[in-house]
This record gives sequence, C-alpha cells and structure tokens, in this order.
Amino acid sequence: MRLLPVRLGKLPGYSVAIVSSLSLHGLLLLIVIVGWTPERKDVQIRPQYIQATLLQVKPPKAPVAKKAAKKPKAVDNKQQKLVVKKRAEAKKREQEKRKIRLREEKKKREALTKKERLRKEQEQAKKDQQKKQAEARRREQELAFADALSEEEDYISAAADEQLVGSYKAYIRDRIVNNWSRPPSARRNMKVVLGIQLVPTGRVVSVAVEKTSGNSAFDRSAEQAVYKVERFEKLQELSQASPRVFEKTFRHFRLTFTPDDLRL
Amino acid sequence: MTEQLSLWALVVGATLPVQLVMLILLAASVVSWVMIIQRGLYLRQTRGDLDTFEQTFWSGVDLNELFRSGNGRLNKDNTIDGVESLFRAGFREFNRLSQSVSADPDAVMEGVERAMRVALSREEEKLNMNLPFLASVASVSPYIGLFGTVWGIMHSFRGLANVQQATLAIVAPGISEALIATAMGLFAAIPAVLAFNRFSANADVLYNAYDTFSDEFSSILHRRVHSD
Repeated sequence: MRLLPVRLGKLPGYSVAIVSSLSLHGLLLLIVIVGWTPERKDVQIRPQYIQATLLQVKPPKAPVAKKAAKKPKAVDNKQQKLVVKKRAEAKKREQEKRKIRLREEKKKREALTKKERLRKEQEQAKKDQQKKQAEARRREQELAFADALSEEEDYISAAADEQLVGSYKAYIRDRIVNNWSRPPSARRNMKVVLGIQLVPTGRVVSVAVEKTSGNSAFDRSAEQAVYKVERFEKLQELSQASPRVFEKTFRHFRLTFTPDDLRL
Repeated sequence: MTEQLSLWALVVGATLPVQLVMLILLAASVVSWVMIIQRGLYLRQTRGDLDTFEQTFWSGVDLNELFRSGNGRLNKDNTIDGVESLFRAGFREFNRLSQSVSADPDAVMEGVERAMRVALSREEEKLNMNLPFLASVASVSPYIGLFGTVWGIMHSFRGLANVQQATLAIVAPGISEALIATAMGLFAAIPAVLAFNRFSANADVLYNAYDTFSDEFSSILHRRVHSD
C-alpha cells in the first residue's frame, strides 16, 4: 500500500486521459452551445385560436346595398315632392284665376262660338287630367317614400341586432373552439361548414356537415366539438330578451370552422 | 436564443434540480472518460509489456542479467509493472533465501511462491483499478438521468394544471428539457458499460497470463533449487 500512491501518479496516461476527456466534453459542449440546433421552431407558447365565422342564412349584404342606393333617392323624393306640390298649388291658383277670367270673358263675350266653347272644354278636360296625373304621381312618390322610410328603420334595427348577434357569435365560437380537440391530420387551410340547429334554451339539437373539408377526421372533430358544447347557456338570455333575433339568427345557422392559427 | 428551441436554451431554462442532475451526469461522464482512456492506455501498455517480456524471458537470456536490466530501469525512475514485477519479486526472494546457508529447498520455494502471490495480487489490483467506478457509472447514471426527467416532467405538468386550455405546446418544452437529462444519463452510461465489459475481459486475460507465468517461473526456480 505504501507504493500505491506513488505508482498511481506514475501510471501511464493519466494526464493524457484527463486532457483528452476534458477536450472531448468541451468540444461536445461547444457544439451544443454554438453550432448545432436540432430544430429551429418557435417556442412561443400561445393558445391556438381558430377563427370560426358565422354565416347567416340570409346574407344581409344585398339589402344594405339596396338601401344605401335608395336612401339618397328618398331624400330626392322629398324635395321632388315639395317641388311638385308647390307647382301643383301654383297651377291651381292660376287655374282659378283663369276660370275667373274666363267667366268674366264669358260674361263679356256671351256670344262665343260653339267651337270655341268646345275647345275650352277640351282644354279644361286636359287640365283636369293633368291635375289627376300629378296627384297620382305624388301619391306614388309618397308611398315610395314611406316604403324607403320603413326600410331604413328596418335597417337601423337590423344593425343594432347585428351588434347583439355579433357578441353571441363570438361566444359560440369561443365555446366551440374550447371544446375542440385537434385531430393530428388537421391542417391550416381546412374549412368545414356546419349546419347547427338550436332550441331557445341554447341546447344543440342537431349538427350536420354541410360542406366537408375533405378530411373526414377534421369534419368529425368539428362536429364533435359542437356536440360537446351541448348547450350554449347565454343564448337562453338572448331568446328571452328578444326571441325575434334568436329565431332569425340562431334557430338554424351555418358555421364555418377554420383552424387558421394552428402550428401545423 | 429566445425564439429557437436550441439544446443549450433548454439546458439553461431547466429547473434547478434538473440542472443539478445534468451537472452530476456531466461530471460522471468526464470522470468516466478519464478512466476509460487511462485504462485503455494502461491495458494496452501492459499487454505490450507482457509480450516483450515473455519474448525476452523465453529467449534463453540469463535471469540475473534480466534482473539487473530491470534494476537499471528502476533507477531511471521508471516503474516496473505487470509480469516483470512478478518476475522480480520471485527472483529477489529466491536469491535472498538461497543465499542463506541453511536453505531448505521447500522453504525457498514456499517463500518464492508467497512473494509472487503477493506481487500477483498487487498486479490484479492495478488491472482492476477504476473498473468499479465505471461499473457504477454504467448502472447508476441512467437512473440519475431518469430522476431528472421525472422531476422535469412533474414540474411541467404542474405548470399545466393552471392553464385553462391544455395544449401540447405548453408541456412540450418542459418535457423536452426533462428528456435531456435522460439523454445525458445514457450518454454517460453507454461508454462506461462498453468500457467496463471490454476492460474487465482484458484484465481477466492478463491476470490469467500472469498466473500462468508465475507458475512457469516457479517451476523453473523449483528445478534450479532441486538441481543444486
């Protein structure tokens, strides 16, 4: 044992071994630190969100355009109507004056020829007709104006509804996305349209795939997500507060389900 | 570094126990490689020494001369290992005992064999030095790595408990960082296992060669004692 420590120091290769082992590990560390990164992926931890948009059965776009086109017309109508009214009144006054004049003329020239009287009568008839026509035109315009007005009111209330509906849409989307489990085959650009039917308590009655994404697993996962939600509790409030909006928007509706922020 | 999931970022971002485990494993790996290299060099050298010595021994050289040449090397501050130290121990004892007047041949042989046995066991000790350490690194470091991994996964799952929406992206970095510990454990263990198996086999072969040589040498001395 006396010899052993002395010999241990003199055993071959200790310094060589230490140096080479340290350099080996140093090299490895260097490679790990500097050079080699196995994959360059984002490590950002963020929730996956899926954009799902609700499609209304009746797209509101067309009436908006129509109304937008019509509104200025309605204003025009108003002005036109005023103008027409004024004109008509002026006409009336003139006619009355003319009648008085005519009567005076009649008194003056009682011995007017038949021909002349006939002509006057014809004139009169013509004027009457004109008046009638103007009145009819005015009535028509008034009707159109009232129509435009009511349409405008509809539009305003629809806009208010739309805001309400938008918040519920967001809620529905959230609920579905939270209950969705991503199948491994899901890809970013997939899009499935689901037809969903609700009852006023918010319970899901039926779900159907209206337009497939082409991937049946994905379709099924979206469908399952809706079934998993089972009941959209907040929709009950909506159906109590304004059953009209519920019936119009959420009784049957289409939902486009697109996972567009997946890390796929 | 923040955006990429580099290996180093994972190591740095690991929790303290996992980092500790990694450090232990790295140290174990460094030390075991020191032993591996040293053992490899040593065993190869003893193997070469054995071959050359046996060659000169059986070439019919005078044993006294052989002993003296060994003395010369010892004076030059070289150690004498392996089979030569066996020879020297036996021969020294033989000379010492046979020079005394009342030398009983059997007593001489007994002394020679004892001296050689002592030298042999010392050589065996040298052959097997550090091998137990390699064996323990080989068997324990996977467990240490596994401990680090389990700890890291525990940690990342605990973090998951507070999250409303459980996604793979939340646990994945934690698990990945935890798995590095296991990888390091295996990294330390695999060379140690291989080296241990190889070196213990080599040491066995050398030990048997020494044993055989000591028997042969004692038989030669035996012949000499009894021929006198």
